[in-house]
Amino acid sequence: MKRLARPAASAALLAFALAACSLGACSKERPGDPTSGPAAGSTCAPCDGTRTVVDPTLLAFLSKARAAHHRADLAMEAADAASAIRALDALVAGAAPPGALPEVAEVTADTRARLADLRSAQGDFDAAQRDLDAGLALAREPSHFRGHLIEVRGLVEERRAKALAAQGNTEAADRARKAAVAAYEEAITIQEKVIADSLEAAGGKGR
Amino acid sequence: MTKRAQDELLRLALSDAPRSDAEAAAQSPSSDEGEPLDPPATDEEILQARALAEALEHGDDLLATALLSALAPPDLGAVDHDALIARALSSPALSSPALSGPALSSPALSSPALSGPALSGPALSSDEAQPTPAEQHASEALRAWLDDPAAPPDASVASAAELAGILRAANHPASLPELPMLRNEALIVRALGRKRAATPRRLVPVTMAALSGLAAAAAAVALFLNPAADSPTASHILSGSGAQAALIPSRSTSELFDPATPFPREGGESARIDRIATARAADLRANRYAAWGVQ
Repeated sequence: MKRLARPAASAALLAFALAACSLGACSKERPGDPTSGPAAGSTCAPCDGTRTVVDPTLLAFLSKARAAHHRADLAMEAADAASAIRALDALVAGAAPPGALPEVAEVTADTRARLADLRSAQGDFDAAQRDLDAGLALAREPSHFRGHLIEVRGLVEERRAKALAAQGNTEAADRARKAAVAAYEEAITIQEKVIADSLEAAGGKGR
Repeated sequence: MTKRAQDELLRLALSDAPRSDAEAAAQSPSSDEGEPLDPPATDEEILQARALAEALEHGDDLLATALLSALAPPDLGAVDHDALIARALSSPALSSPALSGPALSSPALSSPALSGPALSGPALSSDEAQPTPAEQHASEALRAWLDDPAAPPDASVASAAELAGILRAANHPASLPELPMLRNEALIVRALGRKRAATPRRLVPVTMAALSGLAAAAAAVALFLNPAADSPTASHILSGSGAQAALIPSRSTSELFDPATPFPREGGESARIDRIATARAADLRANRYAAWGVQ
């Protein structure tokens, strides 16, 4: 009897867990239920991959992001750039709500831009470039966030050029300087597009 | 026992001893007819009186010894005296409020005898009092027995030795003697047999847990397949297409920032995330109100 009881209990619990997961996360009747907890979305991924409303999971991520940025602020006040980088790295490497939520993508892209700024100030230009690439992959549409990432790219290249010039590598420094100029020009273009789109949207509403 | 006290008790004990007729006539009160009130002692009484006298002389009679001690208490040693006084004065019974009334404010307790030079120094607590010779003897006997527990303890410390032995066994239990292999195996088999015998009792809760799990799973599947049967909860309200359309969706945060004012080249990230989180918190509150049906 004992040999039968344990598998039976395990099977029952497994069935219960599967049913609860399917009921809590995969029901098409409850996408982004604001009354559900953050863990519901993180433990059982939604079956349709969508979460279209503002829910507690999104707020949890935004709260975590806010805490990480303020933590980085305090670290920078103490001239501890390494600690600031660690705080922001934990944010971009940590858990995030499932689905391609615009808020999550934009906040993460902005965090990548700050990481690139901090790392380039420490002379780690390659890591800064990787952060920028990751951020740009999240902010593909013309927006303040993409424009900011491109502008930080210009800043990184500008710092790289200065570092290379200080090392006497004038040729590489010149290339970095040109890359910085190109980045700033692209940033200007993006910002102009953002403004134009905004004006167009405002005109459409006014008509 | 002082010589005077011994003499006094011997005199009392031997008062029933055979006396001469003249002595008896002179000392015994007589009736009006001249006959003595006490009959002469019998031989048995005389023997008992002599036995008592011998016991008194050797100090074997407990009652007599106690009476002698009360009549003429022997001198205490200085150590015993100080120890007993210190313990008495530090006793909680004496310091309790119930005993602080007139009984303890009598002149006897405030007499110079209790406030003499022996107590004029720093008061000794019961822990600081010197051990009495009897206590020292008992401690020596107990230590001797602890060094050699196989020997019988001194009668004066028998109870203390028993307690000490129990405590020692609890703290450092002696190793069991080597068991023969077969005996060891027999003990193991018997113990396992008891465990197996107890197993059926656990079947009931395990079975109940399994049945409860199955019932819960069935209920969850039923809810999943038939949401209309659910009560009108917040999640149920959200399942309606109208409520879903009323909920604020996740969207870009660009609307929170002035399109004509780009982000500063450095800094400002914390201010931006503050603004985003605050705005989305308001959206979440609105969604919850909508889910609850609050207009």
